[in-house]
Amino acid sequence: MSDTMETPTPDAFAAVAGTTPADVPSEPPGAQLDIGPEAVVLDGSYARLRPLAQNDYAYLYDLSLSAKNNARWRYRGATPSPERFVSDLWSGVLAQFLVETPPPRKRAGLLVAYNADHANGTVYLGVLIDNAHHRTVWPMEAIMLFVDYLFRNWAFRKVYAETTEFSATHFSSGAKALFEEEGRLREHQFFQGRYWDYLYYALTRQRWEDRGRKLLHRFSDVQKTAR
Amino acid sequence: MVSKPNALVVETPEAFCRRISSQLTADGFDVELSPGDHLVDDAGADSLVVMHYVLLLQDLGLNIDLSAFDTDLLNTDLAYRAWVRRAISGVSHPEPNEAV
Repeated sequence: MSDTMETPTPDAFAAVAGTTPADVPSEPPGAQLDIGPEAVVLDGSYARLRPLAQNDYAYLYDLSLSAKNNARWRYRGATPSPERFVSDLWSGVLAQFLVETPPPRKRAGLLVAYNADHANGTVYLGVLIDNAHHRTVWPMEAIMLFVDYLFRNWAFRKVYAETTEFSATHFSSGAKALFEEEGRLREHQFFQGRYWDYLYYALTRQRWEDRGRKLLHRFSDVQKTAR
Repeated sequence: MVSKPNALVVETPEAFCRRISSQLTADGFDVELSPGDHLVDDAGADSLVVMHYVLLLQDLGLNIDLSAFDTDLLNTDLAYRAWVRRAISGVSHPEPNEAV
């Protein structure tokens, strides 16, 4: 296990039992951070994030290698063995959570923070959401819960996201509203007969606190209104 | 000018779309909606815009169940009709997308 891997692997779940970091806010608004007897669970108004279990691996393997995700996610079209996939799943990971739908809870994707650079206060965010939930709204709460978790628990200045030009269309509007494009490798990645740019976005702590966290709180407001 | 107290003012679909577009622009998104437009298919909105749009509709009085959102309201005509029904009847017959 890497020394930066701070979300426990399934085999290490038992080590989490009973731990309650003293600096964890008692009741973070919009995101209940519950250090329970089994594991860390991030419970939103709609979405829920929980650590991975070993019986999630087959689901994540299928999700990662699905036709729509294979080119976007880390393998870029390659098809690793299940054994290699499990090994890679935890490589360079600081924290990762399985995304669950609103009740009745079902698996819906993966959120991962990787390549954390604590000296410089940066970390990368990876988002993989099941295609069945595209165009719905609640997965955005899952992503924001996770970003909030990263900013609350580590002294990161920036959360980076890296993606190809063709994948950026799924969230590029945020380049003005929430995060900024900080880097672009021109014609970097070959896919479907042509080269595409490779983009680096950054969400700063300041912008998250000014704008992002308010959006996260809106989900709990909406839920209260809908009751 | 004599105004009628409690008179209901229902704006046109064009004005409704202008209002939504204006608010989305104020939030930092470059989106211009017209009646009949689909937010994703016609206006090219991504997930973040969809989220803001739905929260805006919520602000306008539509109680949308986010856990069962089936995307019909991404069509501005359907969103407008739902909003008009809501405006006329206060709490009226909910749309399929709206929480009861």
